[in-house]
Amino acid sequence: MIVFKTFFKVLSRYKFSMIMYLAIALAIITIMSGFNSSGNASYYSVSQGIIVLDNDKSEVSRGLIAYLETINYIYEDDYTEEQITDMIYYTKASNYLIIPEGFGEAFLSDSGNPLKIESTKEVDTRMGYTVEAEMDSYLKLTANYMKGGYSFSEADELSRESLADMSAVNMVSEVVIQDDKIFTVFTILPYALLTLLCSAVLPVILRFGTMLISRRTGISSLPSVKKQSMLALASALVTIGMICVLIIISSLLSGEMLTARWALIAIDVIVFSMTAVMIIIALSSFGINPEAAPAITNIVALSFSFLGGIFVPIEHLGGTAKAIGQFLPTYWYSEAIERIKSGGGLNDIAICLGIQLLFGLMVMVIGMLYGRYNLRKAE
Amino acid sequence: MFLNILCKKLKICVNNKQNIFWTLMFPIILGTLFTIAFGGIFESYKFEQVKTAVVFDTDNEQVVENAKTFLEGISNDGKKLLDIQYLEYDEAEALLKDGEKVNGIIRVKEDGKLTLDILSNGVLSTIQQSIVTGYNQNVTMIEKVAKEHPEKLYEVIKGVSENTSYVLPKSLGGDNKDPFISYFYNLLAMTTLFASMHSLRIGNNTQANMSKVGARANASPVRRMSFQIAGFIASFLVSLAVVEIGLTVMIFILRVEFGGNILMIYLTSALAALLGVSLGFFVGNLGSFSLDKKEGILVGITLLGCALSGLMYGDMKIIIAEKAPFINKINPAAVISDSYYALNMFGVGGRFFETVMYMVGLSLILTIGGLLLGRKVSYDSI
Repeated sequence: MIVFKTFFKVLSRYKFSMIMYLAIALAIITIMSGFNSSGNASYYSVSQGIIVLDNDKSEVSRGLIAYLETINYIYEDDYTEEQITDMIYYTKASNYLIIPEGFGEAFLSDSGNPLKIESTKEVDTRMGYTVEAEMDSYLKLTANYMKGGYSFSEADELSRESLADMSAVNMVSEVVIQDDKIFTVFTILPYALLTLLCSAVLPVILRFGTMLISRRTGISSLPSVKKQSMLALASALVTIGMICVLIIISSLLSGEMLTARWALIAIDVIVFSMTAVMIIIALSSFGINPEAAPAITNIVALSFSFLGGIFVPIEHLGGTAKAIGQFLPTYWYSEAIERIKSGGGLNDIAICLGIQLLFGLMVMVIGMLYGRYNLRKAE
Repeated sequence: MFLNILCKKLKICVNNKQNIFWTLMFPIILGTLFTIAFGGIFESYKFEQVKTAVVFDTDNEQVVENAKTFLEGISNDGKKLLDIQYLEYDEAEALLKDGEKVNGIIRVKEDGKLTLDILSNGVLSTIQQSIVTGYNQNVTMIEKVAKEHPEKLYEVIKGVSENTSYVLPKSLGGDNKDPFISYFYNLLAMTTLFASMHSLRIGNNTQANMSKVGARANASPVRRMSFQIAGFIASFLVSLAVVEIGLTVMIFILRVEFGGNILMIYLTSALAALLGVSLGFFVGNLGSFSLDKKEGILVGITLLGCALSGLMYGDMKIIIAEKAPFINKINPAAVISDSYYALNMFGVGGRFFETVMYMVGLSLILTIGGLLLGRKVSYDSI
């Protein structure tokens, strides 16, 4: 029992870093959960952010901005050049449009040589092109309606109505991908779990394994097996506590609990946690200095998260990243979430769960063999 | 005497191999993984032809010809927009459902209009949709004008066939516009702030009530400040070497393009390392907490700062710039990453110097603060 109690005593030293990692994970979850869309059962145009500087303020420029606003998000505040560069660089906005003074007048006069709208974008990006194409489509259609004898307001209305018509687009996918908040929120949980376990449980186990302490406990009357099982029990209890806290917070943030898909996701989280514990056990066999725990936490959590599709969706990653990612449990955790998103059941995600556990077992066995080798070498 | 102490302190820092190993390995391991993870993402944002299957559901030669001329004629900056394959519907459907062989199927209908079959929403689907909608609306417009204003029909058809553009495209300035490079900026910020671990022990090792080394140092005739300054300089030199080696690996081996003048990137990293060491020095001299608690404070400041500047989620910095811009102004990680960003996008100018002033100013405040905190401590009073 003394080992069990000491574990928690040592753990209390790390409460600050636990709170810190939990706060960071929750901040990321809260921010990212604001970006989920409503699903893809029907077609919708992809929205871009557009910064508009309207120097014309004519009927035409207002009509154009109103049309662009039906698809995109318009920023019309007074931004400095630096702010505009920041927004385009960080893809908050795809284009910065300057509508020149006299644009509306030139457009209505139909001189054949129209004034042009300056569009600053990251060169060659698809998003930037899409906005320019939308502008050109609207202005050309409106100009042609006007050539056909309609006034600007009639042409503007007809163009907007026509361009909003999406009836020509058919979604032929048989699978309806749900894109609700629950998926965004739970996708980020492995990062939280890995950081919490690496920053709190790992250094405690490492401290028990430092030379002086392990020699001291080694000559005590407490059998080694009992010591190890007490450590394992304490680690398991802490992990279960962390899982419960994270699942409850995530469920509250996503506003969904005790549904069929929630249960599947919870199973995925539990299996991943078991894998994470096995990784921790493996790491603790390498005789690392407990002071290195912050660096290890960041290396393990960030690399597993980035390569496993936790922060950046797997489909956006390059070929090499995807290939490497397949050897990580985070990849299969994300894959299971994707399958649940597509309406998959327990049978569909079983392989993902199995691979996660297999990874954990493999790493743990390697770690334990290495630990045993080191012990024999020392003897 | 000072040089002697400096040499000893330098030896102590260099002998802390575990610390050096992790602060060096941290940017190298994560830099490698970031290169693998983000290497191809920005390329995929760049414009490329949209793979499109075209199926004719009509034998009307005029309709077929019009659609072909229109679809093949669409271009962006002189490059063809669509990569077209003319297929039967079954073949096209197989390609659509088989991964990413085509992004959508444009079907040319008997009435001259087009339809689009897609699997999922996205930018490419939006581009295809805007083409199809644009074409259909021209057909609808011609029909409407022919019905309501037939005398204007010729002018409208002429207008439709004209290739008028209302947009003057301009490119954003700056060297490397890849937004994913900001993850590397934040990684460097974290590396330089983790340099604080090298200077954290200085405080404890110069206070008689905090460590045996401190007790010995205080028993010597040398002033405490000499030990502190020598420790600070030694920590800075080791941190500088570690940070610059990490940066060199990133630039020359991993081929990370930070953007901006390379010499200035090295100088900025040196300043950032100075800030990191000053932070560690200050926290090390703060109160008489145990080393573990001080380490916890440093890790907390570094991690929270890096998370807020976008190490885990790239858009965090711009979100904070909108909601609470003062946080970006006082967060050391955000300022360090902003200095690299300013070099990349604006070159050596006002914004860059602003970040340099902050780093120098804060380093001075923290170092002087640390010295004052360490100097005032007294243990026993008769």
